[in-house]
Amino acid sequence: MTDVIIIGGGINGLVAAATLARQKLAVLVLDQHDRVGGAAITSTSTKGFKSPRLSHSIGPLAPEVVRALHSGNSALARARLKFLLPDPVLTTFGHNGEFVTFHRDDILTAASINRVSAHDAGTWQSFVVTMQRLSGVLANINRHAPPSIDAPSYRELLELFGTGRRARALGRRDLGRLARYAPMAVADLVAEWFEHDLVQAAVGVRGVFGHLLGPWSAGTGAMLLNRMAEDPMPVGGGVTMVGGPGALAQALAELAEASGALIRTQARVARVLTHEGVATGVVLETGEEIGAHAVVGAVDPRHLCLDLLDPADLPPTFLQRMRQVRGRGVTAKVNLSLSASPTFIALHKDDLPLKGRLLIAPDIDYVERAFDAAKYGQLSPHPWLEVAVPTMNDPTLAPDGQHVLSVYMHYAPRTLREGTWPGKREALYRSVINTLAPHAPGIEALIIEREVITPEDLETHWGFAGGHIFHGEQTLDQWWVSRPVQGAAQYQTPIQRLYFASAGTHPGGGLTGQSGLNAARAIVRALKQR
Amino acid sequence: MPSHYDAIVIGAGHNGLTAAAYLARAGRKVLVLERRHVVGGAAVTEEIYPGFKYSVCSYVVSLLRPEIIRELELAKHGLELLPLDGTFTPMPSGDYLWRTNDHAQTFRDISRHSRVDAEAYDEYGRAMVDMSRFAKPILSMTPSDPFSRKIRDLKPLLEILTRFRAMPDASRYNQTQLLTMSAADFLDQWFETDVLKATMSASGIIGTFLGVRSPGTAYVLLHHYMGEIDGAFRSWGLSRGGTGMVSESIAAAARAAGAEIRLEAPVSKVLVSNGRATGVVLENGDYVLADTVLSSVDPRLTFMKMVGESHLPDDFVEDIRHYKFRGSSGKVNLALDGLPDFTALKGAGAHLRGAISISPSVDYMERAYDQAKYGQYSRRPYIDIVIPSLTDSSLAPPGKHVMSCFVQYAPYDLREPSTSDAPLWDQHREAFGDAVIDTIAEHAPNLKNLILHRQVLTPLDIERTFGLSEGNIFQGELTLEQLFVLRPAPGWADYRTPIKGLYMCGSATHPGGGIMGAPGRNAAMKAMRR
Repeated sequence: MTDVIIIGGGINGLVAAATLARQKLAVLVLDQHDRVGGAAITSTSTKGFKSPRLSHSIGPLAPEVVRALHSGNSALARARLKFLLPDPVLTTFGHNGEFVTFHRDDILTAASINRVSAHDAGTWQSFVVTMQRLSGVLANINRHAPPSIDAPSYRELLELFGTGRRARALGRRDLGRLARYAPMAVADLVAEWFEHDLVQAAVGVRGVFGHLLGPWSAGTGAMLLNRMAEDPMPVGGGVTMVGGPGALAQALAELAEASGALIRTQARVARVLTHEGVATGVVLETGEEIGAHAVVGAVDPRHLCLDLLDPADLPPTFLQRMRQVRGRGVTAKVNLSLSASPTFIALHKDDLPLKGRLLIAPDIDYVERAFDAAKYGQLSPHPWLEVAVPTMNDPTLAPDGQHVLSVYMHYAPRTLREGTWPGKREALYRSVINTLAPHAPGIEALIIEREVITPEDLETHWGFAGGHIFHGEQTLDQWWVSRPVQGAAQYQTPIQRLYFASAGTHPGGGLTGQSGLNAARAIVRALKQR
Repeated sequence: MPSHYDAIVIGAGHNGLTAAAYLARAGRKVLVLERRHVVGGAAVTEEIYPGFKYSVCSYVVSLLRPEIIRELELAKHGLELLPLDGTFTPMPSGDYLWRTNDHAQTFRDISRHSRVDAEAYDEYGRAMVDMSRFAKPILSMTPSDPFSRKIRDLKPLLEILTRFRAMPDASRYNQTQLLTMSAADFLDQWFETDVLKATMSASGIIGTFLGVRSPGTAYVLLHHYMGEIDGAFRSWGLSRGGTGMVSESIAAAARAAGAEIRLEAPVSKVLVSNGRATGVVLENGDYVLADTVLSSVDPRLTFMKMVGESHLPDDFVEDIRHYKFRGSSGKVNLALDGLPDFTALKGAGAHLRGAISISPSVDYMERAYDQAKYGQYSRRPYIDIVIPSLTDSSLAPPGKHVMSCFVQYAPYDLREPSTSDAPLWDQHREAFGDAVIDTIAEHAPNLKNLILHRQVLTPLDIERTFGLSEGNIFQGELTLEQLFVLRPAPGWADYRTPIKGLYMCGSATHPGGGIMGAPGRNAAMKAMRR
């Protein structure tokens, strides 16, 4: 008899599987695709190009998760969890050939910024240090399951007290900053520190990534802080692995299996079985029934509750709140196989910046205008792009001398006001190429293969409700005790022995594995109580 | 020998006067210094055009604290509040939405658009009243310093937390959403009728540089349900004799208690010696000494101009510099030869006696905002119209009327084409006025033939005339990062300032703008407790 079935073999599902298996529980992971990984997959094309099909960078995996994985099977974990840390991390291009390169070293970054703005070069380091201090408090909150509002346990009060002390330790000045920055528009936040468009936008887009929000939307300051809580680099570190993000999923799967977990792919769950308010197993689409003592939904909570459960089994208030979760997908993905390395004219043949990610988001208003279109259900005619060339760090991903190029495109609203997604696929592709081409002329001639992934694909093929890559916007009202919904933030669904464990729970998405770890710990506690 | 007072109040707006009245009633020798020739600040009635009395800026009364009306006996001093019943929204389709305090009428009218919404409207009203009960006591409260370690400071905040926890789960859910969501998103959860959502969401954006889809705008929806005239929740009113009568009555109460009010006496400096305020210097060079100085003007004027940075801690100066004004609204006051005739509902019916809202759809509102984001005034703005002369015949000659049009968006920081050396707003004032008239005339074509006189106030005019920095009608944006314990700066929300004996008592302090009087009353209490 299986103790725990985990629906979904994404990063959170696998982290939960490894954690639970280590507790001597018989774990079975069910994934609908050929390979586990969820958003962390490396796909091989017919011509031998290996693309990061969805996410081109990972988390990074939360330190807490890495520690937890090491503690079980440290030799294996050491062997497998080897990350690639690109340096430089990001280069952002302006309208007129100017660019700024962000490095792991703040001094090098400041030197690069200095070419466009002495002022911003001067504030860079103190910005980084300040934001890291502030986001450290959030990181502390992210490490624990959210407390119960009505009846916090002794442990939860202790954790809250710990967070409170940590916050106090910031001192008046920083506490005031934290309180101001969180509800602020990220555009305002960056304007308090920087004057140059390129620097403002490079940091600002971190606050809107993945969401139907623009840099002028209030509350995006909190999202920047939250992103920095998981990845201390203000523009993101772009961590990946040799073999692409899929290698992380494989490593996690091996760790889970080494502890005794079973993993079944091509096993699409059609329904969660319940009996008198208690989960008893799942039915696959093939009709096969698998019984278990407990079921964990490491899939979008909305998908779990609205598609895999019978609404009649759920309390109406909960159901209504679940339907009201805002997760309006706006991210699209374009993967290209290139016959040669792309040439960005601004770089004057310097290839080094291509090791990091590239950003086309020249100023805050540019990003905001891109967002404006999405508000009215239109594809941004001038989207902002984050580009990675993974073959620069890992040449094994493509045939000799050839490259793969991966593009996150914003904004492509899941719900179009005119037309449908199959019909807009080409327009999406064109908008990406047309945005890239002025910076990398001739890129179109290099394209051997292409793949366009629309928000609709994300919903239908990967199960992201609304095509939202984080399983729900990570705004303040959908954070912590309100993620996925108020009253169900502690990984327990209203169905007994059915649990949440995906990015749709606290602390949220970004391939950090923290949600999976927090959930697994809560599940272990719950199962032990019986 | 300069004269000496117990307290000097800078500015005779309704808050300054309220503070003065409370101080005088407590036996203090008080002097109010006003730059203009009339009292009232932005709550003022002026006869700009012979025979027609405009409520030049602020035009409706709702949140004036009942304890102030009671304690200062404002009725005895000439305050009479008249009901302003209903909101009429004409639509381009020729249809309209008309809500009033008459429950049956409102139900019928919303039912014409959607039966479901008509029913949800009642439920929504109940939920909002519930929320208001939680939020209302906070309005009269002096925000203590959450960054302090003193139990005395933390106690009131813990009380709020305790009250929050004591609320039923459903109210807590709504409250969280209200604090962080956008007005449009929040209303989307309740209603389906576009015009209803558009008109209701308008209250969320007034005086802010945000759109109805900007997170953080939902909270202001509550204000509509907190308005209390004669103790009845959610009624709005007009003051007989125009909004200026609110200020006049408070001034009368202050004078009756012995306060001295000096007009055309602009203050140039606050005297500071050894970190203590000792009086003020007038622009004519006169010195007036006092033990306590209360400033009802905004923080930029108070600290940057009157106190001077050199007397203030660096952190505080930085915070005040970051305090956001960004005026976003204008005002058009009209003297009319008759009543406008709306195509959607002909005749001079009761629908003209309430507010007339030009807010036909959520997209209309959002597009108005989009233009402002990039520095243009909205070509088709949101307009809130009131014809007070229908309720108060003393405001215009018989058969004639005054019409007050509140207009958003009109960004202070205009980026329209320039054709001369004059400030941009001076070049575009009339075009802006035309856009307003054209917009209304689309719904009431006879308007253009009725206009005897028009006064157009741009944010620049509001700044020049009323001394409100950047023309912000609330002395600073009412956004989450500038509310409660953060208004006007973290750690200085309890009306004190880094200068001993200097207090803030205007709308730039908790609970903010609108004719509430609470800042003036709270500040006076604080200053006397010393």
